[in-house]
Amino acid sequence: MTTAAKVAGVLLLAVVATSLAAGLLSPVSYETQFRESPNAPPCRQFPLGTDELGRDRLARLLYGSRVSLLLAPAAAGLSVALSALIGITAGYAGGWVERATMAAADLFVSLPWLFLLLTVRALIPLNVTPWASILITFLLLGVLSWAPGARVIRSGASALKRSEFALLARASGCPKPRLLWKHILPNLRPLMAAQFWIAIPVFILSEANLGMLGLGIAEPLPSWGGLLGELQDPGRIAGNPALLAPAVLLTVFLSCFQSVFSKEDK
Amino acid sequence: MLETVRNDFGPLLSVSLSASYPDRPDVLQGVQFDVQPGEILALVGQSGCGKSTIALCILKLLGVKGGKARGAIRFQGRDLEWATEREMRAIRGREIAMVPQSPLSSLNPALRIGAQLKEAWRAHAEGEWEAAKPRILQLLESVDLPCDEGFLRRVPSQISVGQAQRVLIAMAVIHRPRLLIADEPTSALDLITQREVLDLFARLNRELNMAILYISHDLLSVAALCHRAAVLERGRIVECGGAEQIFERPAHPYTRRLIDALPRVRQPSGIGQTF
Amino acid sequence: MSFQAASIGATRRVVLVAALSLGACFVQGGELRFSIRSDPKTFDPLLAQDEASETVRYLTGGTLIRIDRRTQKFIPELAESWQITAGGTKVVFKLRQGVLFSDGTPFSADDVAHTFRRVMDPNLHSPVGDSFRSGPGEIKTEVQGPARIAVTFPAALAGMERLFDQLTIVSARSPKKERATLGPFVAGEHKPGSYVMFRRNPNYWKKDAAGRRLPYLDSVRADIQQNRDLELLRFKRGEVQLIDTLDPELFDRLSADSPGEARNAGASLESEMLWFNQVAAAPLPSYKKAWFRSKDFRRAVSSAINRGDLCRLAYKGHADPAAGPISGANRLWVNAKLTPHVFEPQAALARLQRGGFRLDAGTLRDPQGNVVEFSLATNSGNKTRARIAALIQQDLAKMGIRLNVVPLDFPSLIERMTRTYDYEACLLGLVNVDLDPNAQMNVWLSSAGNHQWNPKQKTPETPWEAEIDRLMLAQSSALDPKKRKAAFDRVQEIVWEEAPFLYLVNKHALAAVSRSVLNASPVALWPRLYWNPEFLQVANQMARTR
Repeated sequence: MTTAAKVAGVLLLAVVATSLAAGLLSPVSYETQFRESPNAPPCRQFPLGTDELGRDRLARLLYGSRVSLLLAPAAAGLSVALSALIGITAGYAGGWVERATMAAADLFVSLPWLFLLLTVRALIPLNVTPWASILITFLLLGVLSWAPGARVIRSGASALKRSEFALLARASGCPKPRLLWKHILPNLRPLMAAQFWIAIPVFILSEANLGMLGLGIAEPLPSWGGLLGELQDPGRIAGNPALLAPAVLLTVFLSCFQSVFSKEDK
Repeated sequence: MLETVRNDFGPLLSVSLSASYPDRPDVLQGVQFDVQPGEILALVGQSGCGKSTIALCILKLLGVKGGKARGAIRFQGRDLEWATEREMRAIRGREIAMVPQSPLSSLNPALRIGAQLKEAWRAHAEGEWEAAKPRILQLLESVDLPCDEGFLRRVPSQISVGQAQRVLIAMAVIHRPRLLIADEPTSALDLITQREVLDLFARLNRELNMAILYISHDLLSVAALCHRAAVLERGRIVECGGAEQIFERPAHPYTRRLIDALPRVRQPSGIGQTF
Repeated sequence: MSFQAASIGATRRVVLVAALSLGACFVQGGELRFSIRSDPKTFDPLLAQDEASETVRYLTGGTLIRIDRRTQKFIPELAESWQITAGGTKVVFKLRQGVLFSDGTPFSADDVAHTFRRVMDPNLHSPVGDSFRSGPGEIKTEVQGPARIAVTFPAALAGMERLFDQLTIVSARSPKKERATLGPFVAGEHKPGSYVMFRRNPNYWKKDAAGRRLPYLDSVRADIQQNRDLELLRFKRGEVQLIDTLDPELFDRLSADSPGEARNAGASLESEMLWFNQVAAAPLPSYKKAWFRSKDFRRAVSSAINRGDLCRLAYKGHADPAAGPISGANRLWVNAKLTPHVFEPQAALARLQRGGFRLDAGTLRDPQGNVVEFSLATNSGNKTRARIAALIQQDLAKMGIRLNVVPLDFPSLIERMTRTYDYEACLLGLVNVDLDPNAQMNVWLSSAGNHQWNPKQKTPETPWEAEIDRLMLAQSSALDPKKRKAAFDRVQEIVWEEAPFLYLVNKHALAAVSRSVLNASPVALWPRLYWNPEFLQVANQMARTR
């Protein structure tokens, strides 16, 4: 591991640790409104200032990190599991199953997801807690993003199925399910791992986009998406550079992520 | 006893085959040959003449490569063309085993050597792997491989090509098959290792009374190892006979061309003497 | 050379600025662009109910009488004159002659009669029709010639002129039905989710003082844009020229950037409000319906909301706490005795506790032990409303009430409000189109479609709604303005007391007008900026200057 990757790893751990220890690090709750000091600049009481309702930005940032960091990997895991299931089935079965699955994947990629997410959100019962709403959002992100991964894994599975060692395994009398489990799946693991690591930052950003649309994360729960929403207006940033904190944190997180895990894959 | 009786009545394997791929029609055109029990038969021919297709046909795995075969395969008095996939699975690896052409790509890169051996064993065996292990280690020793746990823990990228080929041979003979199909087993090896592997085949043939269908374009190794040879050209067998007869009195012009193409050696007939 | 060129450029700019400031520069043609919040739910003017459909109706529809949005006086449009007789039950119109619909069909008294038949058809459920229902009985029309028609109402209809401002005359004969219009524009291409185009109506009858045929504009494009930040960005880029409603934050920012373009038209008629779903057939648990139908529950929630904080934090001071349906801007009709529900959480809690509710470890439970939790639906993409919701959420949390804020896209929110009734509480601002209480008939009558908390009741389900029905009908038929005022004051008092709507704040009318638009002056009445669409002009390269 290079020094840069080590530094990145330490930073990454620090980000995760601080978000998990949000309750300890921040004396106030993310939802407490200090209504007498809205839009406060950074000061001793509020190191990053407050938002327009007087809520401590630091507390919101830390709790928001927790939401995003916890759920993005979970959604990525779900997405990869689905991709693998569908991709391997298609690649291994071949023939019309493969063609039909890949046509479905193409269709899936080209659907207008924003509209669909809006509709799905409107169909969810109204009285869900903010946490449930978030879970549903990430669940949707995970479930709906199977297609690109499935295509990659399908081609991998298809190539492995035709490989010399798969042929030899069959020539040795290896039953088909065992061939899949013992010979094909282990070789797809690096591919699936890559899909997983790529999906995490993508989901964090997707949640951010949904947050900007007023979807996904409901009041009063903070998320990186909601916090980044405040950055839409450059005029306000000039007045309060502390607004940039979530963007900086996201950038640090993503770049650390990249440097640590792309190294690990090698 | 029954098997012995049956063996007395006819060849171990009797083949009469035609085969084609979607992009290569008539890869095999009425190829006929027999393999007697305990015999080493060579299938000789240039690259692309359909030798490997024969191996896949016998195991009924041509479909994996998208090809189609017609004809009859009789093994131990049984017509394999009517065998179900389930029955074929019971034959593959136990009755007929294969040693493939390219050792390194035929080993699963993600599995340790031990696991690959275990998989080959598990395909036709019940019971505890730990109990079977001493026998497997013995087998490794018999194919001149390190027989320690450390070797079993290696992955294919950590062993040499020669070692990989021996692992594949060990895997193939784990269930003491009646017939071993060796598809260009020496083409990826250096000369010294080739020699050692050929030694190994000869020993297996002797000690286990294992018939070997030795597919090769390498006439020298054929001359050294085989009892009989069949020469394949463009999907047909053009000449078949005893190994010495073919070398000394080639009948077909194609066979003659093959032999003429050999590098000159001082004592061509002496090569086989060490065996 | 360069100096000379620069000086010429400067001179040109001075001339242009002078022309604009004097209003002397006459421009014909061009396209005016502004944003609307959602797709129109209907292009049928008689069914218009949501703001986008009303925009369509206003730009395309011709009416007999218009209310001048600036002077608040009636002006004759398709009716040259009118006379109210028979104790306020009858009106006789003398119609303008030689007027053509946009498709060339001539306009006559038959069209007015047809419009009345159609709008009063009970199967149509027209909100406009509701406002004409002064009492039980039929509305009769009598065509007295091609340019003369009498309309007789079953009971006196006070201030009836205002109603005709919303009654778009539809053609009796045109094969294009309600797509044939008499207004300055014709609805053109509609790309759902994107925009609605309006083209100049070549047959529009009105001319300006110089005898030029109106409208001046060739086209109007209403972009469907929910995001107000983007709207402001597009305004700054010159892609839209009007913003009829600005969030306080955006207004402050625009006034800092370009003071001349941010326009505060003073107190508006709009109020933000929250209401509970009281529909008996709503798909909600019965215990929740019981809360929502309890006056004490509604009043307690109202008193738990800190309206001062809403104005200060959500509106940056550009709003006032609201007392009732009529804002102070409507000086004639407001009940000045009413004051906003006082913020007193302790008293609110005590009120609930008297009704059997109890606060149990920070959670409020109803007499049956159910946790008091409900959802507040609102439209997504409105930051101010999101802030109001977050503030209310916190206020109610202090009472042990859990509020789940649910932002929904506008069409599905309207769907829930008006058709499925699948919501618990809703936070919205409804636009008061008119100053006259008769314009709110479609809100206050229990049988009306816009009686949001419990619409389309066959008979009033509560005594106080029956009383409101009676008072509203009484004021609508009384001819004495004092009696009307007394009746409507009483309605406002009942609404204050029963709190079917929890009025939160009255917003200030904040708007933006590009310097390139001529003749636009924001008013408190809707539509705030394009109330005189036929006279609006746009100075840009596309326009022909004469």
